[in-house]
Amino acid sequence: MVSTSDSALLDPSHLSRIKDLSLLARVVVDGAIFGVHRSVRQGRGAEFFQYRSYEPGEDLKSIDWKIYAKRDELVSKTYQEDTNFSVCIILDSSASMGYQGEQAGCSKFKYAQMLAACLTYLAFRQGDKVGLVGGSKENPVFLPVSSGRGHFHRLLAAMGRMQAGGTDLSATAWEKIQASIPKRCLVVYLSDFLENEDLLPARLGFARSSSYECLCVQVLDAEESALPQAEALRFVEMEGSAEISTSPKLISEEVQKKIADHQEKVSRLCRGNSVDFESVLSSDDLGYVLHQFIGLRGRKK
Amino acid sequence: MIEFGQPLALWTALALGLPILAHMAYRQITDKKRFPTLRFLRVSSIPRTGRRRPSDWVLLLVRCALFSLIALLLADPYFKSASMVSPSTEKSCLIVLDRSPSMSGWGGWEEVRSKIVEELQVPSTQFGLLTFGGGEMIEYSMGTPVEQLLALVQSMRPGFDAGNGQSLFSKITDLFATKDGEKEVLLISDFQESDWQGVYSDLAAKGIAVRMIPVGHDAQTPHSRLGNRAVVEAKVVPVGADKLRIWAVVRNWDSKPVETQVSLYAGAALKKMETVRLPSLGTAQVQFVLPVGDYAKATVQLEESDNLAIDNNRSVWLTPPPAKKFCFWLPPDSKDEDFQEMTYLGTALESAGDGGWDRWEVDAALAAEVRVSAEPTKLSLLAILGCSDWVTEGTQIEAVHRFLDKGGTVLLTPGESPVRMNQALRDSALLDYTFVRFARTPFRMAPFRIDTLPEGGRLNEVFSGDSSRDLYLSQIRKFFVIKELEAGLTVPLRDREGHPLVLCKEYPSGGRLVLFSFRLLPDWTDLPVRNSFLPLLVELGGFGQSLEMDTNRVRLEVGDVLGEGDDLFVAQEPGLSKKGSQWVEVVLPLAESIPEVFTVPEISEQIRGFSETTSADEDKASFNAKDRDTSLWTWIAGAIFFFLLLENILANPPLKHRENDLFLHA
Repeated sequence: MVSTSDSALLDPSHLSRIKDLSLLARVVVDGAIFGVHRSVRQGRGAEFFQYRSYEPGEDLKSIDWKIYAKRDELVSKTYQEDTNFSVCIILDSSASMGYQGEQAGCSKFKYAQMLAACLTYLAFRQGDKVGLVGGSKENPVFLPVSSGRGHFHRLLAAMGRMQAGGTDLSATAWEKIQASIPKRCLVVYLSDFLENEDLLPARLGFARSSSYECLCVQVLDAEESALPQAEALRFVEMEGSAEISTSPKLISEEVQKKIADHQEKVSRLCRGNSVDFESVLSSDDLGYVLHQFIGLRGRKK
Repeated sequence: MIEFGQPLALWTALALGLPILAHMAYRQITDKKRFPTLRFLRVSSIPRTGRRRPSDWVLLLVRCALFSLIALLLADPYFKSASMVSPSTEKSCLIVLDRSPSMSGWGGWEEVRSKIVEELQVPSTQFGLLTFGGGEMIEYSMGTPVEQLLALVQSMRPGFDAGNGQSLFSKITDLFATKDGEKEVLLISDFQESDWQGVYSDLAAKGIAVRMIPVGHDAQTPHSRLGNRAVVEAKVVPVGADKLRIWAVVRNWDSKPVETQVSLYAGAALKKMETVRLPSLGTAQVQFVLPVGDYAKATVQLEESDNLAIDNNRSVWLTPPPAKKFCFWLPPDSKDEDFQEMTYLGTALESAGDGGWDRWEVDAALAAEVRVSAEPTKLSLLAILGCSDWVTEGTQIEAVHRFLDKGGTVLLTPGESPVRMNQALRDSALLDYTFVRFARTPFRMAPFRIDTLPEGGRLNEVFSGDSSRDLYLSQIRKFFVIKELEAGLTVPLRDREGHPLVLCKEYPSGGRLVLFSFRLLPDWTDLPVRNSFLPLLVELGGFGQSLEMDTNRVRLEVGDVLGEGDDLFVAQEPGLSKKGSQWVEVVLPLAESIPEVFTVPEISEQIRGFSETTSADEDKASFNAKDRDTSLWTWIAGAIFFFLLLENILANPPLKHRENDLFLHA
């Protein structure tokens, strides 16, 4: 299991018990990546933010000469930078995301839901605008990019109401997503990417533009590649009615290879569209994915 | 006590191994496992894992119980309650004993003796005895001393007559008529199918219990008995003039082929012996040749002993049957042409037989005897040549009528006056036809010809190919044109213009009157000198059938009767007899050799019957209802339904597991 913290509290099986996504996000973000991220961007702007000690080499224009005159101390004035950077979270809630293996602490969707909440909170703390697109073909959810505490709570409430079920978002929904994503936006797409990978170039084609950044996070369950431990099982597809009777023991190696090949293919398709691709298991530490996110933000600044 | 109607069906209980094997073969599968995608999966073989101990004991036990109950159901179980003994009255037991010939085989009679001795020891019981088969029915009333019955049984033997099982039951009712208390019929028989097939009685409705003791049965083969061979047929046929062929058919009743020796005894000595191989459940023929006249009778005998010895031989007469007789009536003023015609016809008739076993002889004395005798005569054929009104003189015409009514054959050829012949035959009610004219060919080279024989007729079957050509080439130079009037007359031959050449009248007794419309003389026709004449004569006279009949040789089965009144002959045992001029062969009924037998449950269905109890017998019926068999079919069917339901419930996976996890299924 990938982990960034020694805190057992960040284990998904424990976190999944927290019903309040707002609280969950604070626990994760404040606990796991405290001191790693910059909470608010400082720089040039119109709105005064705070004073701090002058550091040699800084622009002399930032020195508040009146303070110097009064206290004989060099103090720099900082301003909160005006930013129009946005975060748009696409959360897949199709039926396949509802799978929870024997060893997993939560379903794939729950994991993705928690991750989305953390990213939303993180973005909210950084003052970014956040939007949410998700649901399934049958129950799509669209919350346009916006900022503010009220919007933040609406986002988390909408996430909390979502349930895994139905099929993948329709082409029309994707067109709407592409039309609604603002400029200078980071798009985070949380899904298992088990189906329709060939549609990814069309869906994520916007990421080729320098105005967008995109991160695809594949959430899988460990049993999806290792298969359940049994002599024989009759598998029924969650998004259909197809059935296969087979012996997991006999085909598990073959399945692992196929999934690895599939991940490689999805990764290649993402790279071809300037999209970052990460694959996590629903048993992985949430902090790991947040680090990936923060690292991505750092690279893009 | 529980008994079974079809005990063999209990073998189906071996199917118990099936659920055990199924549980040992144990296979792990699941109902359903919901999974995100199947695109990376493929179908594979499901491994089986054999187990040393069966899985799911409860389900296994339920399934075993289910199979056991099904086997029980097939075996047709019924509950047979013990008879209630009336404390106030004595029990009456009538022993009904089968004495048919088959009882002498398969050790049946020895069993009979031991069983009866055993039964007669029962105290407080009055016994009677009734036998059937083997000749007359012997009956000893209820209350006959046991010692007398024991002595009787020791001296009694099976007979040769199959008897009528159905006739028993009225006699049984009579014997119990004066008795109260418990009544029981103890039926001791081999229950051979031929004797008991179709026998039906409902003694239970009359308050009489029936107990059956089968004897001579084989526990291994309850419906049949092994080890019987029989001589089922023996015939004597002539071989040329001085030899006889004794032809016998031997049957094997077993399902395995056997080899056996068949001997011919004549003059109290072994004459021939042949070894024959008998196929399973089949027959083989064996033939012996003896000179004619050396012996009067012979016996075909199987040398090896088997389980039923009584059918191992058959005797036959070796004497040839007497010749068939024919004679002529000629006009009082006979002319040369009458004698010439007699010679033609006589020669032809003597050639009709083979001169040996089947012979035709002219007997002039019979010609006078048939005129006056009112008794059946030995005459087979009467030829009246040159027929005219002289036939009606005296009692001749009555004699002809009598002869025809006895089954004789009369041939008529016309005399000088066809008109007088027509009148005489019509007046005497022998034949009703009309003489039209005398037809004579103007030229010798343009004779009348016989028309094509009608399709489907007997003559058409006999004459085909060259023989028919010979018949159609026959020349008829003159004949009387007649027209048939009487209903029922047949016209076997016509000329090409459709005029009848021969009229034939059949009598119910088998007698036959044949009228030729021409004389059998060279200036009338060349038919008598043609090859086709003899077969034509044989067919017209009906000798084709009569030649095969040998009324002097009679074959009877034991129990058959021949004749009537003082001349009555009753066939009592197999062998040879002579009754007057008739040679009688008495044979054992073939049915007695058949090894198939009924089992007790099968015969119980026939004898117990299903008739409803009458109101008069209501009290008796309420008492005897306890003796009746109670079928357990309904109870077992109900139990099967219950176990089937239980098995269905147990075999289905629990609901809470059905959603996600594994189940064990046998």
